[in-house]
Amino acid sequence: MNTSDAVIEIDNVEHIYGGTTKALAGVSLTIRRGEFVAIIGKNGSGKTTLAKHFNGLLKPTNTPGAVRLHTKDGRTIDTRNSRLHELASTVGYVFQNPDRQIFHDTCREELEYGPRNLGADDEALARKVSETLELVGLEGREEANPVHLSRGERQRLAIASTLVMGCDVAVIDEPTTGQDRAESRKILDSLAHHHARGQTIVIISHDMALVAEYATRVIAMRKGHVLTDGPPAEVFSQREVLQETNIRPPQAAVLGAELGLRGVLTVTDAVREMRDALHRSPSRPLNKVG
Amino acid sequence: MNGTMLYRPGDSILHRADPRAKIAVIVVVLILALTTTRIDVLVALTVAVVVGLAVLARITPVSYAKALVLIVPLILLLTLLQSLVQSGAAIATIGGVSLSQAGVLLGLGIGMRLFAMGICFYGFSVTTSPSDIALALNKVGVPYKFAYLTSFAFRFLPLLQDEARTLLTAMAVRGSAESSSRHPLRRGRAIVRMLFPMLAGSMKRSGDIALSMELRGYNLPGTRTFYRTLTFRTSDALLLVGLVLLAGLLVGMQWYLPAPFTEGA
Amino acid sequence: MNVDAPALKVTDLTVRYEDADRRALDEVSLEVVPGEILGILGPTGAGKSTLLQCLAGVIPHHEHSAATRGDIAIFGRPIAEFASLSEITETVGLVMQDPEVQLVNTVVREELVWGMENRGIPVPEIEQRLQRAAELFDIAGLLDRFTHALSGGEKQRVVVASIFCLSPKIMLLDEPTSELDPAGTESVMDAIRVLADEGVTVVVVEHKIEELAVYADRLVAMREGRIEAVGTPREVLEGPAAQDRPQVLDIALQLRAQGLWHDELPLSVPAAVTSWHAMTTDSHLDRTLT
Repeated sequence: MNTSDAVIEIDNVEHIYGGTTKALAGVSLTIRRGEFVAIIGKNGSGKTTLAKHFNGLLKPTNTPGAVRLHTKDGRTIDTRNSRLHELASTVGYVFQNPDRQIFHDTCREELEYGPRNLGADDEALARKVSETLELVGLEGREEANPVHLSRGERQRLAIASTLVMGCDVAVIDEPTTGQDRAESRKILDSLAHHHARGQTIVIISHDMALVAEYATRVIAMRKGHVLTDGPPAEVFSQREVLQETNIRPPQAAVLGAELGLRGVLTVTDAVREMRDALHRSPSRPLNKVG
Repeated sequence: MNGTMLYRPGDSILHRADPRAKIAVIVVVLILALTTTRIDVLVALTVAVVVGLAVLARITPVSYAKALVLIVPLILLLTLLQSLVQSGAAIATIGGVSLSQAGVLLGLGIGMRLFAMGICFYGFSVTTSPSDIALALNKVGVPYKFAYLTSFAFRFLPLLQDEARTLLTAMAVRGSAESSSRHPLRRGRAIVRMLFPMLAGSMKRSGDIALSMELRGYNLPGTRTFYRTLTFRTSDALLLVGLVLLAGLLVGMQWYLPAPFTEGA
Repeated sequence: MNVDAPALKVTDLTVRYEDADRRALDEVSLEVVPGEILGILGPTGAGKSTLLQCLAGVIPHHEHSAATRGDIAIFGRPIAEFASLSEITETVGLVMQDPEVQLVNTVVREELVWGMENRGIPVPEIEQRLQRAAELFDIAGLLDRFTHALSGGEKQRVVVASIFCLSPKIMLLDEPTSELDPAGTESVMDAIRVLADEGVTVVVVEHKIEELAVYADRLVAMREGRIEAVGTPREVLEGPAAQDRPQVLDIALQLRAQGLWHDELPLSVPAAVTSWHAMTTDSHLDRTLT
């Protein structure tokens, strides 16, 4: 493990709400540059609480607990000692409801807001705005009023408004809630495009099929602990572990596991493995029992 | 989480009292407080309210100590202002400026008045659920649709608060130093920016809420039934009797006792 | 009310909103069987919500900006004969997407009795229906809770219960699980099954195809204001009209196209596993591979 790749270090972080509710119980993990992380878990598992520590929305409630950010220009910041807006250039956060983070009358102004707060210069900014809009599938809509966009488009606008800031890490809370399949894909594709260009991304999501397809790393939470952490294929193959916490892997993965096939995460994997299994000699057992 | 709602469910005497009786208490306390500036009467009223809350609702000054911290400087400020403004014999002279005794008494009096009313409202809010308030208002003659509005407000207030908080936070995570600024003017700018999406959101939502209410018969003509009833019990009658006695005592004080700190009649 | 008639009969329904460049609904005709669970799917803009709003009488009684043509009959009685929205809601209940705007009282118990109070239902009857609903929808423990403090799934369940208390014969649900996590989704699905068990006709617009496929009796696929397919879940999802399918169905369809799937097409993982076992232990398979 190359620790110089670390961008967010969570060190023994605990978080207790209102003096009694332990939402996070001594979690330690590292988010590395270039990852596309999905944090999954049921409500109350601590996934949102964990994500909110990444950009300082929440601070650890225990004294030894620390959240350290390593910026691309070599600085190390402890979130405990920083104000929220000071961390904005390092870790961006997109909230679940786009309508709670859109303030302007045009898409262009909305995208300019963040970078302007960070002191961006006009020339480069205009270009960046166009580029970012294109990458989220809203090309040419600079002058459109967000009110006239569909909910899915507004969600992409909200995501674009954070990605345009060029933060080291972008955290997106439930990017596809309330969206139909086609729109959900567009949103995840937008994230994938940015990821391909080097953006480190963390999403919180309930959509296991999309997580399986787009994420490079899955962190499953349960009762304030990390239940399992690894590539999607590995995490979703641990069915008994996930079952404890009611996380259901995508149907393809479940089917693959039930049929005793390996390496099945997506529909494509399933079709391939099942076809191969059917072409194998019938004398060899095709499916494991139990 | 209760949000802004002060109401805490409980089973103290005041919790179980008929909300109409509690409304009567507030009205009488308000009238008593607003019709005099005599320091002795107002102190007596305040003591009565504090003791009443402690005994009948188990709410001790400890619970509202935080609010006190805000009120005390306010009272001192009021007193200072009045002492400078009012004419009359000086109680003290500081650096050439005389602070009149009448002014000090007036200032303290107004302060105590605020205090008494504030604690009274607080006690009412903590012991009376929003639905009780609406029901009580309706039973004393306020048309249902208006009475219902009070519980409607309590229902949606936490939501608005939540929205405001999220909007301000959303600004901060995009680098805005204003939204979390302690400087009132800068923070004010952030709040203005936040108001537009909030208003737009509220307007859109209110259309849906109106539809939702219509779908459940809100605008139906004809008689409405009430699942809950209010029963005025002996304990409530006793509360009112106690209230009348208190009022009598305080009014009597004003008529028969000379105002303190004055020179003769 | 004619109990032999279809629960809902839509004939050539056409709707166009003011300032819209195309029709929201274009000569839609449909019959809903009493007691069935009918699922409606389609991309955003297909007209699903518009259809539901027409069925509930919201268009035109509440929403005045749409021009409509065509007929709707509720248990044989033309909708035009109903004097007002309130009269329609005695037979047809509507649950909308956002739970937040449908809860208008501070405490759950109040919410449940509110609609009944508005209709002047006598108190003993209110009490009876309240207890029944609390038991059926598993919300007895929530009765004294504040509505704003409930989880998304709990909120929607309370909404469904409170409309159920008004004894509608037909319930329309417009994307009821869209804002909910898997646990919340499941709780609404359970509520829908309860409704169907109680003899209520249910029409539900839903994007979560994997859940819908399993509990719907029939499906309707819509696109751009028109109905493209009507039939059993298997029939509709197998056909070209479906934009989205359960993963297991997708897998089976692809294998079938390669001549490798001979059994019934599955809509769930257990069904897929059963079919697989049937196909791979089938003597037919031995014959084809020698």
